[in-house]
Amino acid sequence: MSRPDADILERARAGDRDAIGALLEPELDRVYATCRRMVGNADDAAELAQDSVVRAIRGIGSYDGRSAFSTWLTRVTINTCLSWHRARGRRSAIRAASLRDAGSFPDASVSGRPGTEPERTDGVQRGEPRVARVEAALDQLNPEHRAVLVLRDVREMDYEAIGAALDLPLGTVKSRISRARGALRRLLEAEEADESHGHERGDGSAMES
Amino acid sequence: MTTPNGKLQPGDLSDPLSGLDGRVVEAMLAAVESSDDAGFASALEAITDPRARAVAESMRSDRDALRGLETGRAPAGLLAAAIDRALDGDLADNLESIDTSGVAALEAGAASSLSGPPVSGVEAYREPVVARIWRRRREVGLMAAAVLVFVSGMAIVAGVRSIGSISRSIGPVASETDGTAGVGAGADETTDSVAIADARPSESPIDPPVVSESTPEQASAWLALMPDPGTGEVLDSVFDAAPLLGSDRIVFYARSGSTTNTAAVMDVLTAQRIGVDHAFGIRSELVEDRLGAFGIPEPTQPVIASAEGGLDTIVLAARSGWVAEVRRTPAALAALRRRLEDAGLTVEIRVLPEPVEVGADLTVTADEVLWWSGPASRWQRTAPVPIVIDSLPDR
Repeated sequence: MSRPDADILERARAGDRDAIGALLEPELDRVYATCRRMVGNADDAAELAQDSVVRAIRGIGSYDGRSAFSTWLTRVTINTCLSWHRARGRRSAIRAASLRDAGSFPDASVSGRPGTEPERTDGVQRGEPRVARVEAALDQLNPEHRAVLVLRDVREMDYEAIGAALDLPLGTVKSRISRARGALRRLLEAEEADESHGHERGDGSAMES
Repeated sequence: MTTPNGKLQPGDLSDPLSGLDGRVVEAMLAAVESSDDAGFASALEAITDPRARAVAESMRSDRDALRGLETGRAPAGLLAAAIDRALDGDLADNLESIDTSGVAALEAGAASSLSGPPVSGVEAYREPVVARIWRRRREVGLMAAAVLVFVSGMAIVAGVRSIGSISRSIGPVASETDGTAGVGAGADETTDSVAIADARPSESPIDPPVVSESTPEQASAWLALMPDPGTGEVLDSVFDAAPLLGSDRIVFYARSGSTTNTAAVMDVLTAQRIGVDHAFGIRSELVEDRLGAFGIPEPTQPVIASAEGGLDTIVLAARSGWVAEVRRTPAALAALRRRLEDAGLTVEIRVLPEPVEVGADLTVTADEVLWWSGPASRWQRTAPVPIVIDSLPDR
């Protein structure tokens, strides 16, 4: 759906359940896919997808029709996911600080995300080491890099749509994608190097800063 | 450091793009972003630096892996749950938290009264029914006699009335073109249409028919002629309006082509008490000095109404106002607006630049709490919402 029918949009703004359903139903799988890859596990993704849809419904009055509806909805979804990451980061920092104060573990491991790694299942369950590695590396990217790669590669959006969804100029979109690809490559090469050298390494120690 | 075949070494990976010329990096990324494999291959040909070629190939492989990640489908029921949350409450995200302690305490109290210690050590004794009747046989006898007299009287009255109705059946028949027939003709409001018609004073079959000359079509046409006050911000979205409930900055402004329609629908809404089945109700009429307090210009501009087969007349809209009590949810606002629109009114939700108190007392009554059958978490406070209606007189 590029631009929704004006009547449906008006009825959705007026709180008509059927109109809201008609507006959002075609977008639902894309919303979920975005959340799924932004947070790395199915449970959080389902919760975030619902939060995103709730935010979209409540904010439907702010959709001015200048961009495609799916782009606007993607923006709402990405913002919801980024808020979740920020809140999660704060919770992790508080938890790490409290554990450090209690002397539970040395400072060196605090830089990661102790005990908060999302459960990764897809690639591992399918027995595809390459897919599992890429999935794991994506989970370790910072949320801004992750967002551009999810939109570009998972959602297969073009630069203009990504710029509209993230409120970024075209040049910034391109440079952020290139930096995100570089960061992903760095994580994967580090993982491969570890494997080849047989080093033991703790979880999350190679997380992108 | 690279191997002779260009394979990256771990030490090089602080940034795979570091040390590469900017134009080479640009060419690499263009290659990685190629839409198809042929485009990628030809773009790669143009890169002569073996290290850059290796990085580009790896990045392309990463991209393909990302595109191959499964994402699954949205769980069933996600949309319905989200719509319920957005429409029916959970506004605590945007508003102050909803205080449910009163209801929760009541529920807790009710539960404890069932399971708590007895207030007396005396065991309850229930007297058998036959024993009670025998003990009070004199009162029971008197009551039975009174009932017999009452039933006999009613039977006599009914007999006299039936004779009267037979003699009247040859009199004038009530018209079926009552102007209120179109009121509340909403798609799903059939029962409410009946309710509106029923809300009018009951008419005897021999009374002259009360027929409004203003059909719904005429009312609608007249409505279009009414000037738009055009002041204040109009909110299209109930989701934008709902967070403002309780701030005294929301007013419903409606225009009606028929005072009869207006009176009929407001009568019904006034009889409707907010509760489990209704998200809103009318608490009172708006006091007269508040009618002009919302910045909506008085309807002083006359409207020329053309009557079918008659003379054009100049009419002036009359203003009236009510205070609705509305649950603080988008769904409640939507229901109120739809109810008025179904009655043929055009409705706008306007935002006032400054709060205007309407002087309604919305204290939660014991009656409301006692009849609340939902869980405490679903209890929502209400807010007063003024409704200002400019109505054209019927013809």
